[in-house]
Amino acid sequence: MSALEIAGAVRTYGDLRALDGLSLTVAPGEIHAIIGLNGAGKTTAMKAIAGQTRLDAGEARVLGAPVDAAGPELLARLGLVIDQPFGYPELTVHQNIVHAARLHGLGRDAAASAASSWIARLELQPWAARRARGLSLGNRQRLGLACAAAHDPDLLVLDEPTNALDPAGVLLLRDMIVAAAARGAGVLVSSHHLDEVSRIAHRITVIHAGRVVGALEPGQADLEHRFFEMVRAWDAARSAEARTPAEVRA
Amino acid sequence: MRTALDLQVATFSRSLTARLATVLLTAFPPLMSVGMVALARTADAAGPSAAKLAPYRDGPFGETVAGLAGQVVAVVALIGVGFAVAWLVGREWADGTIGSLFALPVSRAQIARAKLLVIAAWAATCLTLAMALTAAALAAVDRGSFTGAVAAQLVRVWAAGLMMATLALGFAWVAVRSRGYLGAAGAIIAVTAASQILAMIGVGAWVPFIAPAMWAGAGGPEEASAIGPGSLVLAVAFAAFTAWASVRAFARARLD
Repeated sequence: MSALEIAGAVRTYGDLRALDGLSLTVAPGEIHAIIGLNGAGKTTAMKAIAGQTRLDAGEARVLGAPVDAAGPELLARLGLVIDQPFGYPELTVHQNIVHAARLHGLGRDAAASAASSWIARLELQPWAARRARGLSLGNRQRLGLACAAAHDPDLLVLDEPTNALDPAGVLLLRDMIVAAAARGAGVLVSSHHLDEVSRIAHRITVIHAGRVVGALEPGQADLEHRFFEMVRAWDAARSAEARTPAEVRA
Repeated sequence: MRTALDLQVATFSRSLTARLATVLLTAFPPLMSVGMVALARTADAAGPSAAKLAPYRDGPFGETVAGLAGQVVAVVALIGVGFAVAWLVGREWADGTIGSLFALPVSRAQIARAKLLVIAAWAATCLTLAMALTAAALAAVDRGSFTGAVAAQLVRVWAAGLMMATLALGFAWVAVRSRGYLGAAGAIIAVTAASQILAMIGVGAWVPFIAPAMWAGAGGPEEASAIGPGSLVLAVAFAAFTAWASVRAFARARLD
């Protein structure tokens, strides 16, 4: 069974087809990276996985079930960071992680223990007793990641998690993702940092115009160049298809 | 449910909104009712304020205080509790963190119920304290006028305040639909203004946001006696319906 499966996902906003038949899977223990330009459909796909947006057609299944039909036991195995991460400014870093872990099904003691462990793991100790409102953007991002992962989920969905992180934070995130996959969790991660993605992903899928337009081999040289080549080739093919017979003859 | 309640208690109790609204709900009724009547009866009341204080200058001190408390508590409960519920329900939308409450084992319906329960419990505590402080201040200033009838009127004001607080929970629906607390804040101001107009043209008895206030004496003893059980039952039923609709809206909302 896939940790995650999206099949034939279609989502339109007026004339815009944000998702246009997108399909992808994540196996348990796999790190699947999706890359694409802004507006390619990565975040919309993740929102559909979380039930934040409905699909006009197709289906998104997490750990074998559609998220809207999933029960608490299954939902307790998910960890999602899409757009703004969890974090209440008036609570301390420690309190935020405890509450997030409890919302994900951990008991009081287990949540407190997980919070301490993840504060150490993401090197948030200096800010553990500070309110989240005083954190830098990068540390808020680390806090959000801890909140999504403290309960050791079986599926992690991370939308551009490196955005606000400094190089040290990126390394910590990389360790966190690799460790999650090593214990069997499926990880879907979107990123603009192609080098970073190339280092950790088992599979890289290129998304463009709401659909999968190709795959890149992790570890390949000149990933950025290949990515743009793939996107431009798809755009050129699409333009050619759209031309009328008269335009072609001319 | 316990997990959702603990989170809401933790965030609400540490918020500036809760602190300001607590002061408004607990300190304003005794200060305004006892203080205003006491001020009206001092020899120094003169100038433009004298005209405003004139209605409170005559009559038994305790009854005047209880009558004014009805006006103050009705408005303060609607506005104070309204802003608190607007903030607590709309804050994740305004912060952009609402997405983190999706796909959790603790459902959004539970989270929404917890939000309303925390506000309801806090409002009941504040209003009870406010009426106790009003009674204590009244007894301290003029013990002789604190009769059984005045005590009964203060109990009625307290009950009306609870009803107005329950009605304010419905602003949660506006917060969800408008995706933040600003829309709900606008609705609170609009409802307060509309209530004044409707009360003036004499149709307040069957308007849920006005009936409890009139019953508490906000429009005077004659208007209070015109409010029957039917008007109050309608107000409570409306409050229950809007609270239910708020939970449903929060639970079913999408981020399209």
